[in-house]
Order: sequence, then structure tokens, then C-alpha cells
Amino acid sequence: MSLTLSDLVTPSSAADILSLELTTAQNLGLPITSWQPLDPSRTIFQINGQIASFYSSTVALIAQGGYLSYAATMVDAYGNPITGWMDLVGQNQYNVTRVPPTSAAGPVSVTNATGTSYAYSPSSPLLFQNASTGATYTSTGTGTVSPSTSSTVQVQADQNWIGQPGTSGSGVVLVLLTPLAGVTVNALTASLVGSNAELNANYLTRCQSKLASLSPNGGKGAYVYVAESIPVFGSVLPTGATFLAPTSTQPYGVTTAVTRTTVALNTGSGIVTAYVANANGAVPGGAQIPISNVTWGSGTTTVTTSSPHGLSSGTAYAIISGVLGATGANNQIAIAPAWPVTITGLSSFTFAQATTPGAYSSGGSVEMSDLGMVDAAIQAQTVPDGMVALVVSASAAAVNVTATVYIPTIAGISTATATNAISAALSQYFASVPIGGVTAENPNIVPLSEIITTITNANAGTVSVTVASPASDVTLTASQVPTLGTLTLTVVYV
Amino acid sequence: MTQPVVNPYGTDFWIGSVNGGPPDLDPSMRFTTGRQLLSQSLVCRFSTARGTVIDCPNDCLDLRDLVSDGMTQSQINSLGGAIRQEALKDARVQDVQVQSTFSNATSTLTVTMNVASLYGPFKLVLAVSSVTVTILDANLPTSQ
Repeated sequence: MSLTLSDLVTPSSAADILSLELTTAQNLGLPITSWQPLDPSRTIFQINGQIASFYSSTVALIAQGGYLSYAATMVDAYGNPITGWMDLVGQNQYNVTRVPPTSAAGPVSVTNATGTSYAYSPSSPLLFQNASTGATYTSTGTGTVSPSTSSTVQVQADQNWIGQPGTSGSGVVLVLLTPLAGVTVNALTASLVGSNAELNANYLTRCQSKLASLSPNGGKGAYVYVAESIPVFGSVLPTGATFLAPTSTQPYGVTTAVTRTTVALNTGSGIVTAYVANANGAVPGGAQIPISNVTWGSGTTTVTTSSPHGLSSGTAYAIISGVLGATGANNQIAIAPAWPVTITGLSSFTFAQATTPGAYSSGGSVEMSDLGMVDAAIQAQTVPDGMVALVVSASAAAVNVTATVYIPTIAGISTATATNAISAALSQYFASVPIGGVTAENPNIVPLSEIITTITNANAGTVSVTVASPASDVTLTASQVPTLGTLTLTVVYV
Repeated sequence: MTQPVVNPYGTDFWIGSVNGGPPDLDPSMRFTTGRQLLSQSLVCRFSTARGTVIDCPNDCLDLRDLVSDGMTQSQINSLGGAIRQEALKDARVQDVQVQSTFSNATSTLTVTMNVASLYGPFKLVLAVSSVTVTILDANLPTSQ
């Protein structure tokens, strides 16, 4: 009997096997039609059928697990995706590991009405919570809630809220759990979006793109693979170690995973432009920002760039190269994969350096933060000699949504809960839209129908949704990704 | 392999107490048929927990559990109906009349079933303790 691949990957049901058993028994002359429930033969055949079905399922899984595209479609008995086999074949055959889930992170604005200054740090952080979802967040880094003004606190979803459950949409007002007298929290101006572990479908695409990365012609897939495979700081590497900072073996890292990449070739200039975006939209930082000066004093090197490097405050990792004179600032010469820098201005930053790097004469550029890391990785691992590639962050196109949602009173969903669920759902949906949108009835759109569907599905039992804005499909440029702007929602109970 | 004569009871492996142990398949895998097969099947039906047989989740009534749990006189009186309903699930049983008595002295339930089958009527008497179900009488022909 010849066995096809389709046979191998299709499990036999217990009923199929029982039927085969009974046919065989009948051919042997056994009185199968007289067997009643509870009779030994009938029960034994049923049990054999069940056991053989289990084995058949295992054989089918093993067979599927040997082929990447089959492994990507594996589901369990309840229809849930199976990721274990895909992880095995992805690692063993393609040396590509699944992108782990990431925590929602971003800025939270707070207003301090008192004259007291409140400092926070990793050992004494500020804690926030989304009252509807229960997701909790902790401030990152060190900072101060300044008196009599508004301050921005960078937060990250806590470990229990890693991935999509930690998402809070734009407009949501978090609750400050840390008691600070006179401090109120303002509505989020940008969604805090967490991403679940990479789906099988995306993992499959990236594994296949890995093959393109081996191409000497610099296939588009190579850019996608490299950009979306850079590990996130804080994630667990395939070695089992937690990735905390760039190392000699893992020199590139990002704070938020790049999840979307498109590659465009200008046939006139021959320049390849790779647009990248993460779940929040734009990728922070700057690629190949020219340096105009490097100075050193008291163990600190100060770098000035001739154009904004993409950050305004905080800390980041930066890679410097090409500096003449102050050559000690170049990471390759300093034998340091990247500098942990402190942002001191839109075009300046500092980092600790025990000895002077030398007197600056000219040149140099910096790969700043996530975008710089992506660019550095692509230039090092993808761009063929003689080719020019630019890595550019996709720009965020805020989509303001005004809608009316009709929800059954009996569903028992409060207005705040409904609003937060819709805000989170829209944020997640926009985070999944490819750079430049989709091509359907028109190119480069965010379909209005998808926005309506997302709002409808956000709260169980939603009866109807009307959307006043946007009134039609949202059109994007080829380098834009949508983000949730102002959400104006009216909840009507029916 | 010599096959038994086809009859309304069917033919299957002999199952019963082997060397005084709990009911099991005969080690020699001999066949049985007729009234004995039906009696053995009924014993299985009344010594197996409901839902544990792979292809008949709504069958069986483990009388041992009832004895083990203890029964009131009212429960003993109503037991006959439940046993009859369960026995009638076997397609070979056309009708059955049930009487049940409980001995407090021996903690034994005695179930007497007058079974009307395609092979004619016969009496099946079961003795049920909290551990075993044994056939006291199935007025089986000596050939079976």
C-alpha cells in the first residue's frame, strides 16, 4: 500500500479504525453483528480503535512537525494552535526562534497639583492599573513627578500582564496605585500595546525569510527576517539566558520588537529602503545620525549630533562608528558592542568612559536606540557589498474614531469597561496592520469594515455599531502605520 | 476456527470469575453463547459504573456502589424499577420482572430477575455485596 504525505498528516478517527477492525473481523467469519454493548469483543474493538486513533494522531503530529508549513497549521483537539512542534522545526531546521511576547510599555502623563516633588526609581517605583482590565504597570527607570506641573512617567506592564492582555488603549485613564497626595493621572495619549508571542503564521514567514537572508542578492525577505528577529531586552534567548544588554555574541537588541517591515527598491537610484514598525507604531531612535562633535571630561563622553537622534530623554543603547580623532568613542575600537547612553537633548547624549577617547576631528555617526539597532543589524547582516540600504521608521498615522455602540443591558457591561475593551481592541488591530495598510478595494487602506468588526467583537453581545468617523476607509502612505488617535465612544444600552 | 451456531444471543468470549477472582476474560479465550452469554453480559451491566464503557456512556448500574453506600427500605423498594430499566437496554432482553431484597445481617442485596428473552424465559439471581456481583442461579442448561 502506497502511503502519501496526506495520509501521514491526516489522523484516523476511532470510528474509522473501528470500521476497519470490524471489516477485518467479518472477513474472518466473526459474528460481529451479534455483539451487544458491554460484550467483550465489541468493547475490546472499541478500545483498540481509540488507542490506535491516539497513535494515529501522534503519527500525524510527528509527520506534520517535520514540515514547517504543516507545523504552522497544527492545532490541538480543541482547535488551539500547537506551537511546540513549530518551535522545534523552526529552531532545528532554520535556526530561527519564535519572538516571545512583549510587555505593553509607554508614557503615562501625571499632574502634580502640590508643591511636593515625588521621586521614583526601580527600587521605589510608581504602580498603575487599568481599572477595567486589571492590568498593572510599573514605572521604569528613575525620575521625578515634578511639583505643580505635569510629568511623563514611562511604564511597563507587569509580568502577569505580558502580551496582549496588558494593552491599554489611547484615552484610557490609568489608576495610580502608589499613594501620592495631589497627583492625578491623565488619559493616555498613546496606546500601551503588548504583543503576544509570535503567531505560527508570522513565525512561518520569518523562517522562510531566513532562506532569503542567505541570498547574495539581498532578497526582500532578508530585511524582514533580520529586522523582526532582533531580540527584545529582557526576553529569554534560545540559550536560556535573559538578554539584558548588547553583547559580543548578541550585539543588537530593541526595547520593543519590530513586528512589521516592508522593503521598497528605488529602481532609479538602486537604493533599498526598509520601513520598520513595532506594535506601538513608530520605532524610536535614529539610524546613521551624523556626529558633529565628541568631548570628554570627568569620565563622561558627550556626543553632539548634527541632526536630532530621535530621542528626547531617558536612556538607550547607541552604536558609534566612523569618528575620526576621538576614535575611542567608536564601539569597534573600544571593543564594546554598544554604549548605554543618557539622552541630554534632542541632538546630544552622554555615556560613561573612563579615559578620553581622543580629540574629535571629524566624521562619525550613531545608531541610536531601536531604530539604530535595526539599521546596524541590517547593514551588518543583510546589505550586500556595493548596495545602499536605508532603514526608516514607519510614521504613525493617528486614526480618530467616533462610534456609537449598542450593547444589551442584560450583558452587564459598564460604559467604562466597554470603552476600554474597544480601545484595547482597536489598538491591537491597528498594531497588526501592515506598513502602508492593506490593498483591497483600494491600495494602502485601513478598511472601515475592519474597524467596525473590531469594535463589534470587543464586547460580547454587541448588537450594532455605527461609526461616524472615519466615514470611509482610512488611506495611508506607503510608510505609515495606523495608531489609535482620539476615541469618542457613545455606549447605548438596548 | 469452528464458529458456534448463530443464534439470537450472539457469540462472544466467555467472561466470568476465574479461580475465584473478579470477572475477567477466560484465559483460554473460549467462546460462549446463548443464555450464558446474556447472563454474563447482565452481570457486567450490574457490576460496572455508568459511563465507564467506551461506547455506551449511558449504560450500566453498579449495584455494588448502592450496597456500599447503604440504602433505605424505600430505596430498596424502588430499586427494582431501576434494574428493570437498565436490563431492558440489552436488546436481547424482551422483558424482565425484578425483585430485590436486602439482608442486613450479611449486607447482601439479592436481585431476582425473571427474564423474557428470545430464547424463552429464565431466572437470573444475583447476590450483590459491596465488593462482588455473583450469579446464584441462571438455570443454565448444562451444555452452557
